[in-house]
Amino acid sequence: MNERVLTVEDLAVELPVPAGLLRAVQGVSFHVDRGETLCIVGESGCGKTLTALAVMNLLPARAKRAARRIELEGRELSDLSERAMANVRGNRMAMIFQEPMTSLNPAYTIGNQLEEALLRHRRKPRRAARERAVYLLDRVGIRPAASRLMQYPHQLSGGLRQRVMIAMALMCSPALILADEPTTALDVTIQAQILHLLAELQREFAMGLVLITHDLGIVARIATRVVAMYAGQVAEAGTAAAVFAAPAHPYTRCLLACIPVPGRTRRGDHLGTIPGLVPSLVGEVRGCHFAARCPHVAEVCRRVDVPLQETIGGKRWVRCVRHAEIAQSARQWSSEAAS
Amino acid sequence: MRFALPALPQPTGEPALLEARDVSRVFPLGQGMLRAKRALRAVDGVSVAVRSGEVLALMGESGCGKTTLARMLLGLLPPSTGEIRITGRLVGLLPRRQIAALIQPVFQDPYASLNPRKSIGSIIALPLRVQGKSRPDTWRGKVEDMMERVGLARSLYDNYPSQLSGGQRQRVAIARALINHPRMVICDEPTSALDVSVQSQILNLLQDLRRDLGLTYLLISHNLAVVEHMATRVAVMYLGRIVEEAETESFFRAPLHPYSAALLGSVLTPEPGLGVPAGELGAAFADPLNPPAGCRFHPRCGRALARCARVAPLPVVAAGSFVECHLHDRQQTPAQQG
Repeated sequence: MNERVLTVEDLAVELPVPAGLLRAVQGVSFHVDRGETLCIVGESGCGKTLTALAVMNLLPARAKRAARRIELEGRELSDLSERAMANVRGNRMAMIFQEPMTSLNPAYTIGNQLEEALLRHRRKPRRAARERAVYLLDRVGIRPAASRLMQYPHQLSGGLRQRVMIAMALMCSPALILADEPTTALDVTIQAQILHLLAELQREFAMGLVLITHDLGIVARIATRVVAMYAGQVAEAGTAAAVFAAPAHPYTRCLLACIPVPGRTRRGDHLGTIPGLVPSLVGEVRGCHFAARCPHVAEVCRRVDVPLQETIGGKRWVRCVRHAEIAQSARQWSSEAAS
Repeated sequence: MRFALPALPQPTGEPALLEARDVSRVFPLGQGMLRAKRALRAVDGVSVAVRSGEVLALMGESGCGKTTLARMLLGLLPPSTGEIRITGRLVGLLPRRQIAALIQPVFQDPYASLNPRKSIGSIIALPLRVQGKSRPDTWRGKVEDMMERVGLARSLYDNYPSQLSGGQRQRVAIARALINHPRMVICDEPTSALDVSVQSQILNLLQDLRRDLGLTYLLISHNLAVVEHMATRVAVMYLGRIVEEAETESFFRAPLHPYSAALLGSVLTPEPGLGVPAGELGAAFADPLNPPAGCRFHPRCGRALARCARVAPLPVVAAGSFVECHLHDRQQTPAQQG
């Protein structure tokens, strides 16, 4: 039986903007088990980062959060005081951000910043904190670890800084790590190393990992399960293998057709596109959020709000009224193409 | 002492559209009042030629000198040594306006590269004004035709960049680059600031424009899937040098330089089940202020030989390609000192 680390049910985030109320996240639900990697994928503005910040309770002050359930290791977080929440953050769950230079304090040594979490949450003696810092720095590949503790963030390259961030997140052995675009600022060779390290540590320490990214390649390679978000909602959720083999939501299908894949797309051929723009989430959006750009749109899509439905076979969730028809025609099309 | 490689021989007799010969650029870096300045060799002895009609992709990690090289090729930055020729003529002797008529840039961030206080129409018309070769009353028509060509509604003529999406802004940047019908466009990470659904639209547009207008591209990108899709030839830079140049197909099939192989090995294609590769390079990183002796890549190279730490490799030339790596040295390296 899998141990549930995080359960999020019906999460909503609203932000007041000059034009009205921006409903940035609407009814988002997902869960993560120990030893599992959940990828939240989507394009800019889809609400993926706000979802993570909402779980950490790190939203901007003017944002409003509502949820039926945000449960970490069986403990409800949504009604915790800020003080109680501060005891959870960096302790039972930790976050890794995109740009390690802005999330490390330039005025303190690496060692200081690593030890802080353990001193703060566990009241361990400094010597014990130092030992753990050295162990973890070595574990994330920063060697010789003991002498690196004295260095400042500016003395490290971007890849090394992100390794420090990972070590810092691990200091208190959290049950859950949330990583928001952890490799977007890095070169491709370093990106592979960092993701490899994250996946390895996640298995070794049996943590839950929520990885937020816009990169479908990263999702395919690292995710156990995928949540694809579009315009504030979950468009599709399922295992990575299933979603990539047969994306069920028209948005996911279109998104996969947009990226060039060496060996699969022919050089110079036209790539798939998604015409149109993401709808504004200020005020009410009637019907399916993807309707205006969907190649399969029907009259009903613009009229009714579409719920996230479990598809045939289960373990697969799709927010599309026509997904069964579309899957059927895709099967016909591919069998015709094969014959 | 580094060695200069003459640019690869031209298949036809005509000069390359754009050619750099043994080009270097040194930036002196101050380190405080009392210490001597140090030299950062951002580009160190690069020779490269772009032939008419091709798409040459320039790859490499951040800080390897790609953008410095591009700025020199655009005539925006004079090289410290070496020479750059456009259609056979020395860039240093050409007036800026003439260079701009032949080569135009499209930059990475369409939020930073467009003047927020100018309307779309006047942004695209500016190169017409600068060149001053056409009558002002023809400008609006030319701009609107070009807007249509790059997929922008004519009705956006009087709008401002802040009213446009990222993809639309990049179309404005492309329209501005093409309004004077240049021979070549240097695209510096043209899609890395865009979402994937917008990236594909811009890549399709660049392909169409190249075919319809007979354009030549120098494409700078760190996205290998984009490079594979767009480029006819690729050049890989590492710490200021081009370490490998090859036809796209053979490069992706069998890269010669260990760094190229590491780059290709880190591409994460959307194929579930394959996992994340460990990455063949160590945690060391390239420091352009202290380039290592011998081959610059040897501290990170998994296949380094003893001499890699001492002797800089000479370029080994084969048909249409070259590589700078001791693993590919011929038995007797021909003396190629330039």
